[in-house]
Amino acid sequence: MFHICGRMTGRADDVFVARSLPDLKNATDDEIVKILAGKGYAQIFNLIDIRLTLGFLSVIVAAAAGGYDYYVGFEKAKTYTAVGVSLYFLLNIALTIWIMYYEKGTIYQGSKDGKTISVLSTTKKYTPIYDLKMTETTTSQSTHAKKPFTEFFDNNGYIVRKPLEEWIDGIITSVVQDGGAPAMISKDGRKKHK
Amino acid sequence: MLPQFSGAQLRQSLTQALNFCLVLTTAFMFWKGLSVVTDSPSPIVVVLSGSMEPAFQRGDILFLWNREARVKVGDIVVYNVKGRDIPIVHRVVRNHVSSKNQLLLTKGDNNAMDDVDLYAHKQYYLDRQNEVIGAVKGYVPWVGYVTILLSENLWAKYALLAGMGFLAMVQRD
Repeated sequence: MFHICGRMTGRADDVFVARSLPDLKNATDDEIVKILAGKGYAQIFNLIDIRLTLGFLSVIVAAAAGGYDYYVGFEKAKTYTAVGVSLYFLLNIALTIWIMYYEKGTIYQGSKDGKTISVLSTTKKYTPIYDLKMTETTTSQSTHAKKPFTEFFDNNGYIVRKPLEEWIDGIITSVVQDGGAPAMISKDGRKKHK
Repeated sequence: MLPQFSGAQLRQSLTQALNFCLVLTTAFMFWKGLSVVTDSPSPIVVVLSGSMEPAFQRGDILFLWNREARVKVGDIVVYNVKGRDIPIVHRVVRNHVSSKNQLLLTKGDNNAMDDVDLYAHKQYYLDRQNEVIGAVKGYVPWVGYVTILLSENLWAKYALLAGMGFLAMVQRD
């Protein structure tokens, strides 16, 4: 209930309590998006927009088929309904393929000072480790790093920004070689990712 | 910083709205798909009255198939009389067949009289093509009672939809 209230008010400091592995991953993903926004990265929404377009297109198809069937009656609308249903499932299969093979866990894409980074995150079932891969798309330089969730979530399930941000800083520096990242990089951040 | 952040938030809201819509439209498309496959405007119906007891009770769910050009005497069919909106589930007791069409007389197992009183004024037979929406091919007992409750209490329907919407928004993917 808590996190819905947080989302509805739209406050930046959502009080989100993570209670499961998907929760942990999603909370971390969201926090990273905010961290990168804070560092002045301009988010690129292409992947998200394609997903939204495919999705809403299929919703429109369903609504159109349903509406036409409602107004004209089942018998007259039969062929169009059949076409509509097939198109709907084709679009949704396309959407699923898109998510599985193209997005592949991309949670963020953004650019700053001419450098574009792409961030992928994955978690394995029942394993509380956050697996992050950041790629700089022009140089194809990428860093793959893992960290257990315990290092940036507190006992009550709240995310703690500081250790996460320090980790991300280190990864950004390794990927964007000549200083797209801020000057403050802690030793912890550097040591932990290899 | 703030305007760009709202761009991300807008998409977040849109994504949640999309997930909610997809729940509804997928269910709806499965229903319409089943409709097309069985060639029936309503391929799954709930028994509303006791006129077919002991074969069917109120609340049983029936599965219909409408691709048989001719039904047999003894089959149970669901039909809509032109001008009435509630479908009726009764057994075929008599028929007249020609190459063009089939005319059926139906009667509920638990009724004393055949269905002529239920048909339109001066109508003595049902038209298999235009009025019958399918023959019963299978059934599940009692489960449909939930839909009877839903249709008889308006608030229950809204409560169910609200609950589903709530769940879809709370869960993240």
